[in-house]
Amino acid sequence: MGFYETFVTEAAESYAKLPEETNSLYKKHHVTVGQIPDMQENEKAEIAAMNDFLNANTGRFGTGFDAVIGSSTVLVNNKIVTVGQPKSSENLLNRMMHSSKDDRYTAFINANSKRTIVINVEKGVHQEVKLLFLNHDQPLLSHVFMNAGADSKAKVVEVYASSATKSSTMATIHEISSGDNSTFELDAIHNENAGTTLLSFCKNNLGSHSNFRFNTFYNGSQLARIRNVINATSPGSNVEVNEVVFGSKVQKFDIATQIHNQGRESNASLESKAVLMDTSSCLLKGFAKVLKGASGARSYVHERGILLDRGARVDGLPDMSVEESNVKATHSSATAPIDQETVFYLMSKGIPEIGVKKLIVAGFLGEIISKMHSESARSMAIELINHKLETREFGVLPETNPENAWMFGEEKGRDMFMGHYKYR
Amino acid sequence: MELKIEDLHVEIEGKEIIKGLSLTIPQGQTHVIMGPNGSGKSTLAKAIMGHPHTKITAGDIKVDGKSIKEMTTDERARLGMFLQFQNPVEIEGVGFINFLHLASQSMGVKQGTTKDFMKDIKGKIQELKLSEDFIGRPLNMGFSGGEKKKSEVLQMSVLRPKIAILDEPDSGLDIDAIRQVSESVNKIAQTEKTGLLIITHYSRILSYIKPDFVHVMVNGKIVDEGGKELIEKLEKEGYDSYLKA
Repeated sequence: MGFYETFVTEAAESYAKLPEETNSLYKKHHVTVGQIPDMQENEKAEIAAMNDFLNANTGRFGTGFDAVIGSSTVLVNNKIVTVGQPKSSENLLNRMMHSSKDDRYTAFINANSKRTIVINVEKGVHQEVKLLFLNHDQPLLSHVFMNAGADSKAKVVEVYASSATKSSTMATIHEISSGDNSTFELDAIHNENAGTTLLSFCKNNLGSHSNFRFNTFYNGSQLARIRNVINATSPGSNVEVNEVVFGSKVQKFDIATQIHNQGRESNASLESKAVLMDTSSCLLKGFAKVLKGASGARSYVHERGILLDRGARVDGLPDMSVEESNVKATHSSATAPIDQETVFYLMSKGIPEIGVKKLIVAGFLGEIISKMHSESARSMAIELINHKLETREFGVLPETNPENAWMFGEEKGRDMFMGHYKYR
Repeated sequence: MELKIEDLHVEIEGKEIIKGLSLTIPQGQTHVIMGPNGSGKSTLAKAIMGHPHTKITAGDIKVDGKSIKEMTTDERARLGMFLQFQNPVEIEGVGFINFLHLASQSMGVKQGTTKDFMKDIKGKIQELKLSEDFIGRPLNMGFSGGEKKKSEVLQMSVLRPKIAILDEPDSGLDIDAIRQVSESVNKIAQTEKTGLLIITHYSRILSYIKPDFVHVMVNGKIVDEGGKELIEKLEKEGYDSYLKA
């Protein structure tokens, strides 16, 4: 069995043993990862592809990326990003991630990824970091550790793109740790091309009275399997996970995100929104778990979908496990085709059908996109939405239109639970 | 611009609602259609704008002599037609200002800079006695009945139509709001020489917006026509005599 066949087999086996995969509801709805082609390493070609990509997108991200991460190369432009061997992070890994013996997927990626990317924001420091993950013709396996010290404020923007000319893989593991009273925000935009399979896994550990906001826009890849376990670990900590999925053609998304309330008086929310075109499909497996001892916790899972074409499909499968009595917890799911009365109303004001769809989709998804702190990320997300609505294509970056940015300003000061307990 | 409806027959889900209706509305004139519930007034408004549930089985709708039957709803709007909705739909996530910006762009209305556009909208919001936060709210979400009507009038003032169909512009409005909405409609109609087709059950709004022609619609047909004197007759006698006929 070759390296990548082993990878696929091992990954599939370890997926099956993850807690979320043992959920009987979720087991019925499962996307299979296909075979990944053999790797042909070519470092020179990858560096050339990186430079081509960066040249073609000059100015899109202001001062540029702090690091560009490829399969065999990492271009580092800021010392906040360091690259090490997997063993260099062994202690952190053991402390954070390997409490479960079943978590073989993590171990497997860690063993086979060529290096570890480490971002360490020191205590009390405010830091913004921009990363580009670019997969060329060979699979990109990355293990990323992010640590934010106590009282720090870390904002990380990640862009995932492809320069691959044939089938490839993007596989990332994120392990995020933050200290007491810290704020951590991770904004990720996935725009891999149609030849790419995306495998992603994120876990975190949170200090007391700290906040973690995780915003992701899934636009690219032919198949995406996402597994996140986001934990409001400590007393008074808050986690907010916001997911946007926009699919076209035959794209498949299998997204299982767990939010855990472990700390007393902790808050955890998961808001997932999906818009699907053509025959694309999406599984939203949001799972909220309130652990014993998390008294006073609040938690909700909210999944919504809009179908733009008859062949598209969204399966919202919210689930919940509550082990503590003194908590507030709720979950909901709703999916519907685009409303014809809404389309008529907007067209009657002179807006063409494509403009109406842009407005509805951008409005629907924009509620989450506006949570991204980075203006360039928000602008890019809107460009990708408009481009896909017009062409159904993904995996390329359309021209930036700064005119769009003002329409989707950064949301500020909203209560994360606003409106979710109005009937309780 | 002239809107001409010729012997129009319209079905919804196989049931004939409009049963041979003819009407001509040139720019600059104000026409009123009055009639009891269920007479087909709103269906007529929707059919003129090309609602997907309405099916024209006979007759024609023409603008300046050309049929618009095959045109999409947005194409009809861009000719200069406007429908003020009786019950505007609530659209989650779509900001009122974003919608209006895109609509005016699509209609080719000169906006100036974004700052100019915002200033213009804020002025119109004050005229209609709407709260300032209106501009940042999602389209029609959580609007009161009065706010929804005022929102439609605000859109009309921005989009400057040549022919506007106002479907029950007075429903859900208190006395002061009826006056404010009427004043705004009159101002737009005078400035743009807009032709108005007002659909209403009640005569109160017609004391502020003076019609040139009044049409009575019963069971999918125009059954009587006249000037303002017809409004007084309807006030006194109601629709009974038409329903019995």
